[in-house]
Amino acid sequence: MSTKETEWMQAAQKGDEDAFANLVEMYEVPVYNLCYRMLDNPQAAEDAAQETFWRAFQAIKRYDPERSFITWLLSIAAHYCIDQHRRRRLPTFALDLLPEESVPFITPGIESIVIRGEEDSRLHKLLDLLKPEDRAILILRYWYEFSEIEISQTLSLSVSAVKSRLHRARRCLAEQYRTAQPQAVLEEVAS
Amino acid sequence: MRNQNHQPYENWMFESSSLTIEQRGNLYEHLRVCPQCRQVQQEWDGVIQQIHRAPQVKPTTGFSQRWRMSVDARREMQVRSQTWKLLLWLTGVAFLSLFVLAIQIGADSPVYLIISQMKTFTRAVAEFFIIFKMIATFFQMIPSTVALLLSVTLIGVFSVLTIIWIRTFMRISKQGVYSKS
Repeated sequence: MSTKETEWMQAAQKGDEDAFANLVEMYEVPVYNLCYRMLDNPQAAEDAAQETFWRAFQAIKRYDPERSFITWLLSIAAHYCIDQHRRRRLPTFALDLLPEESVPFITPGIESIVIRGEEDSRLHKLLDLLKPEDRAILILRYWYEFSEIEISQTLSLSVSAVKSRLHRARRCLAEQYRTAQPQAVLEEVAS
Repeated sequence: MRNQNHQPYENWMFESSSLTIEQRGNLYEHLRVCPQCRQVQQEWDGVIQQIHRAPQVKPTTGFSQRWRMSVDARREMQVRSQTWKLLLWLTGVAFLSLFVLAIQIGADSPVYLIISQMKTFTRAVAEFFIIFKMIATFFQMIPSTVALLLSVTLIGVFSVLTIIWIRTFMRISKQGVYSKS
């Protein structure tokens, strides 16, 4: 954590709303991305990310600075998204709801937007096959490159549970990949 | 559906980046002779490629400003929700009291009820005076220094409790109660 971040953190723990807003700006992308990959829908992801920061703001006084702040934030976000999955059946991903921007920032043509949208849609269909906890584990592993220990701390699971769930998720995705892909993509992978 | 006799190769396929050179060699040999595992490997490679092509998604511009703007609304909503909870709780207590009162009125005549309530009140006052007398007698019996010490301690404890109560009341009325979630 940089000096500035530490200063913002300390100020936020004393109730400084502006300092916390700086932290929101700093961590909005990883939190939003996790919510988006968990919930498939930009509006649901926006709501979940906003709720995550609100919950973090309320609990900031109890935050232990020894712990990684991003792990703490992602833990709140992941638990909230898992809870959302349990509570309701989420609307399916639609192309017209594509997010406005993505990293790395490029200005794609319509064709590449559609291709990316289709790829995103296929990926989300695959992720939809997983249980919410398994999905969160897979996202933290491959989008955030978290170790099994970090995932276990983020999701309050044992390391052995993370290992077995990760294996189950990978196996499920590999098995379902063939049925979810158009022939052209399969030929490209095989070559 | 695949059978289960492909360990440890199946695990190794999923974690190929952390394998030793020897394990890699063994996996390569196994994949050469096992078409089932080769297929899973291809499928898993496809999944990984798709994941790596999926970028980190950014929220629309102005996310932190929207968060800042939502704080006041969320606070207001929280206070409103607390007020509703308190109102519901008070209504519940009022209904319960009315229910108990209605049962008592139904069981006994109103005159008898008034007499019994007055008796209870008089007994409570009398018992309070008895307790008060007992405490006074206790203080007369013990040495004056102990009595003084005890009085100071009691006054101190009650003062601290009063200050805590006032501070809590002021904090709640100013900020509302934050939930632990």
